[in-house]
Amino acid sequence: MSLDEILKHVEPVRAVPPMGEGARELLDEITATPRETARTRRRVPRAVAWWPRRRFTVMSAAGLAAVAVAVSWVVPGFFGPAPAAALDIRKEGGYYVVTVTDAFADAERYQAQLRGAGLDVELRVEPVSPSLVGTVFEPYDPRKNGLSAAELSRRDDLVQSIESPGRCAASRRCTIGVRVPVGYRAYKGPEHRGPARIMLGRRARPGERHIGFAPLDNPGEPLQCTRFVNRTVGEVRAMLRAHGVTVARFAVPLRGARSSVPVSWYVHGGWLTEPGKALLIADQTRTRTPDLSEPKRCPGTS
Amino acid sequence: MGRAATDRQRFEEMYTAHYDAVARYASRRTSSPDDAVDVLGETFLTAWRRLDDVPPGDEARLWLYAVARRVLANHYRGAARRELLVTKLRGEFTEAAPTWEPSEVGAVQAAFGRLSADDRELLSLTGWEGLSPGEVAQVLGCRAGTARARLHRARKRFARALAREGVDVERYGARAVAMAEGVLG
Repeated sequence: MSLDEILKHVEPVRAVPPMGEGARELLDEITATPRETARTRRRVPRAVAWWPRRRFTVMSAAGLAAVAVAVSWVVPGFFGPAPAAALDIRKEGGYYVVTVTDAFADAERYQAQLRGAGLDVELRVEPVSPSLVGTVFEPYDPRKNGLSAAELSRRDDLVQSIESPGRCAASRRCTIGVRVPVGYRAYKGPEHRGPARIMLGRRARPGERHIGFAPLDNPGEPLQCTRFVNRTVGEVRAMLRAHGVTVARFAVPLRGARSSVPVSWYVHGGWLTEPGKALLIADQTRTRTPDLSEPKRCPGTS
Repeated sequence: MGRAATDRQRFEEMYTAHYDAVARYASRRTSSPDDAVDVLGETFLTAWRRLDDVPPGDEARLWLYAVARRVLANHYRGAARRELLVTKLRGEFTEAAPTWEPSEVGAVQAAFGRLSADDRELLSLTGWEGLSPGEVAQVLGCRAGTARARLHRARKRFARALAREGVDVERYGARAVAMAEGVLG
């Protein structure tokens, strides 16, 4: 037996999951980030070319998209009639508790309030899938890397997220605010300067691409509370059409994206890429990957 | 607009063609599914940003290995966790991670662990990724002759380390097959 063959036996991981919905989400997230052009890239010294110089631009898009896939839904009606303040900022113990009271306020209003409270925090608003509108996304902070949820909750120097208890499906998060430690200092590093940036999901304008995506059957999405995984492309397309949504693209696992597939194929997943346009993951066979997003709690049903 | 669509399509083709290879590369060299997803994500994110630099065909795979290698070595890599939080993918990786670890391979692991990081990298690129010395050279950015010579020395050191751990290289094959049958049966 050759040394290479012996080495094969200590291969740490022999199995990686087949390319599924998760891989598709990654693809979508990556391609939603802005690309460096050849011209700007050449000016970047080789040593730092691996890391984006304009970190923030990338972060705001990718970071938001990223967190969005982890978030399920915000109860419709959670954001009621617009109150005077865009944010609710309260001091509780050693923290400022920041929640969004008006998800549709001007960015300037959030800014003014955060500055007024003396927080080293900024808020940006980005277009997301309908069910993610109003969701708050925590700031980028590499100091959190490697910390478990329990460890993170004990740290009094980091921004913590506030999740909506009982409102999210078990496997999902839905962040409705953040807790900012009094005296909080935003992470500063070569790739991130300025204040910590919290993102808030907003409704996309027609033709505007989403930065955060949620499954089509999420409450608040076109096929809310309707099973669509493992139904045929023809069926799902008709279901979407009834809601005024067209399928703009199909992603075929291991084969890439295309503009059409046979109607007899099976849908493995999907999400809105912009208002009225959906992307479906579809293949010749049914998916055997369990849908992690189920069961979902649907308003008015049990 | 047309350019953007072409780029996206080109990237998707590369992504689907090499996803598995990069996922395996990352999984083998990281201690948790989360880290593997980080490396996977950042490698392809780099490829997306530098799409014009990605060579065509199977050479893309070697290019991606070289990027993944740098991502692993990059102390910023933890930041990717915040940049690309693909929850579902993390779940899929966690599920796919093997739960059994045959104790019989402990000695081989120990021997492998004694080697320098450089030797481990060379040996794993051939043993796990199945690369030829010429391909290893491309990933490492050195000449084929250099890679071949370094690989030869690494193999010798590995053989010595195995002997020190009491692994009988001649008989290892039969034991490994029996072990595999036991697991499969």
